[in-house]
Amino acid sequence: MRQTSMTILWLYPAEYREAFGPEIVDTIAQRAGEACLQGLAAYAAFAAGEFAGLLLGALREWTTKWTARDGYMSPPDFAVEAADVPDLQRRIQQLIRGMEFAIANHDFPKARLYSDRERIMRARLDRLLSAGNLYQSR
Amino acid sequence: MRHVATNNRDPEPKPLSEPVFLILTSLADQPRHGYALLRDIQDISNGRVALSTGTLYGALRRLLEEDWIERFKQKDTSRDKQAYQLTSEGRRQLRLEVERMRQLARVAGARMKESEG
Repeated sequence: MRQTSMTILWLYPAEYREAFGPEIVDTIAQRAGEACLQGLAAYAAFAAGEFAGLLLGALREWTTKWTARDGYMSPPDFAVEAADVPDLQRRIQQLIRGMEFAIANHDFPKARLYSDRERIMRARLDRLLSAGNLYQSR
Repeated sequence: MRHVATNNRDPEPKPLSEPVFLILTSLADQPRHGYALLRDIQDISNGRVALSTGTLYGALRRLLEEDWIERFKQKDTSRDKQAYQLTSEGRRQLRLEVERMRQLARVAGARMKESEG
């Protein structure tokens, strides 16, 4: 089950696989253990459902990736756990520069998007600062 | 200058899909990791909704992108696990949805009472 799940995960975009792959495999393995105790028929039904779900998920993720206007699973959204305060500040500056560039080029949908992202990153920075009680060093 | 008009604070938010509503509900009282989420969703829906793992993580990816949830490493007895928790925006969205459903239920209840009484 674990091996098949890992194989199917290769059908996903690399960004998604890196962010969620190990978790998905672990979760499926845990559920498989549970389904195993309910008999062969239950296990077969569970396996079919999981594999179908994974395949459909791969299709959905590629569709999202291909249709995303602003990039798919961009680092500002998904690397939060690894980000520290200077890193978040650097990303906010990048977003501001991107927004200014978009406005200068009259690309207002993109500017709006950068603005949304910047607001989200600022909220994260505030959370990080308050969690670490780092306001004095801000 | 910084904040161009955003559409995140929609006055009339769209109804949440059932998996999203159940995920947010499951995270409303405590953070959970993927497997715990799936079990809890089955419990709170009285066994009616059994999300596949692929569906769950697809929804989690979208919720992370919307900043309705965030993930962090949860200390486990054996090893660290990625866990998910609601952000203030996620809690706000859940509250709006509950309010919307409550209002609809009130109207439905009143109309049924009218037609029966």
